Amino acid sequence: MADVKKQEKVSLPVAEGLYVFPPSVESPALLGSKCEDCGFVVWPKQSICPKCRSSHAGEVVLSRRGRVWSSTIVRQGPGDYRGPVPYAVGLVELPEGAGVRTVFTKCSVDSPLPIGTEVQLVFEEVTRDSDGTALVGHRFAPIGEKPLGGEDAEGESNG
Amino acid sequence: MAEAVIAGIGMHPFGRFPEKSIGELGRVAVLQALEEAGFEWEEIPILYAGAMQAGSGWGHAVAAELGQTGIPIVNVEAACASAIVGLHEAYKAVSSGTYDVVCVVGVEQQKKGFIPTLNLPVWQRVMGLGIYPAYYAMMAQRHMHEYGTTAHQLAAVSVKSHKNASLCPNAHYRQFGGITAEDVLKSRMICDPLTLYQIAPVSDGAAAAIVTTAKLARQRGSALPIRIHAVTLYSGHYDPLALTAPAGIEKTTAEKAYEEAGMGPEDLDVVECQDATTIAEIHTIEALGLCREGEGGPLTESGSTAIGGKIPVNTDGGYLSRGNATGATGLAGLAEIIWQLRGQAGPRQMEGAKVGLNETLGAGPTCSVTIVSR
Repeated sequence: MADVKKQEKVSLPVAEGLYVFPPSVESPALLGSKCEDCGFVVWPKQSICPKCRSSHAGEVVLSRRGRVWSSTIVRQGPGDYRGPVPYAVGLVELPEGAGVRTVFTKCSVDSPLPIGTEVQLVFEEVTRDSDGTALVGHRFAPIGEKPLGGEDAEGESNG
Repeated sequence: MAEAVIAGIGMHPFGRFPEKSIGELGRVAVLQALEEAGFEWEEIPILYAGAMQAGSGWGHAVAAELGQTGIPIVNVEAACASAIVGLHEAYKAVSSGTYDVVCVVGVEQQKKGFIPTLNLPVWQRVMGLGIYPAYYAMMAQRHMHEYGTTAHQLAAVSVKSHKNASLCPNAHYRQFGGITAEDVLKSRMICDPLTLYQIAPVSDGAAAAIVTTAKLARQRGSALPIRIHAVTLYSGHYDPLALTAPAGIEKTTAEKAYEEAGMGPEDLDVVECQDATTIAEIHTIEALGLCREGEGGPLTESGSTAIGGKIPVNTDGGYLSRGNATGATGLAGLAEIIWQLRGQAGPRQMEGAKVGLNETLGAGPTCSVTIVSR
């Protein structure tokens, strides 16, 4: 899925406060907070800095690129998840220092993305709510890699 | 300060018991602990009860089975550390003289499938990020990347665990004592590199302890009282790159416990630690100082952590095969330490064990290290 902007009327973010969307930014991004006293950056945003406990925090639009801190392939989906299995997940480290738990997209689900792989932010439909509205959330895709197969792999669901 | 001891310990075996209530599971464990300690239920002035997935009022359900005596019942939730948080409170209450005897119980009954990640926000769960084994898998990927830990070393933890559990009557998995590293690695992949046999089962069960003063334990003719040197709790600091818990949480908790006890890893004869997955044990034995950082894999592969080895770890099979009845599990580990120190561990016995350490880490996070001696 490409463009959240086009879907504005039929989609909602998966949760409030995690992201910032056009027109206030050029393209959708993660919305973090930056401590005005010590400069510590966190995502999701927090009103009190977890490092120095200052309550002077400003919002900050975070980098759309980062590196894989670690990753794995989930081959048995957890209870609250309705998407395809297997799927790739991981923790992405952003240049600002924040860590982002994420599903990886446009990549193989045969083996985990290597640690250190450069990835970029994309937004995709995550699930639908009870009235069918698409809920959109962040994912990361490897940079400079062509989309690979694996989407057809037989998944299994977990009770 | 009064000297606090564990005068009685009890367990309902871990396994699948969907036909039993949590009250019944808890009652079995508490009665066993009371009998060992030489106390009657009617004499107990306060109950701390740990559970993770029981909804509400689990301690009350246990007390209802034993008889409603009107005592304060404190229900504690700290995921896999629930019962150990209860033990911490009991230790503080007895040491300070607030109570001269306290009962602690942990109970759990679970649905099949993954343990629910209720501490995570809903958006993470619907996105497929609410799955504990995935974070352990990522921990394993990091450990392999940084230290060259191998899949075979991970499997060695599981092989040892299942062998130990085959000797343990309270264990969930007693039938897999002969599995090999190859069996472990060939079992179904759940989250790369962790295969099915490298992830703890979801278990039902209960564990209980009676904490009292050394003086009262002597008067009551308790089973060999086990002296408590430290029960530490630590919840960690913010870590943007936390996987299962903030980096260093187990190490800091252990350091606090060693300091409180005036002991170090060299004083330990037997250790129980959190092994919800194989990598957790490798990571934790390093954090406890049983070896240097990065050497947990080779230490396990060498047999040093097996029964009869230099420093046996999880002699009852640990979370991996004794089982993980989340609310009770930390206290079940302590029960094994106590049986080892009393010389009651049967075929799992470590000759002459005098000092033991029990570590647990629950989602939240809550990390706890308990050091006890005979």
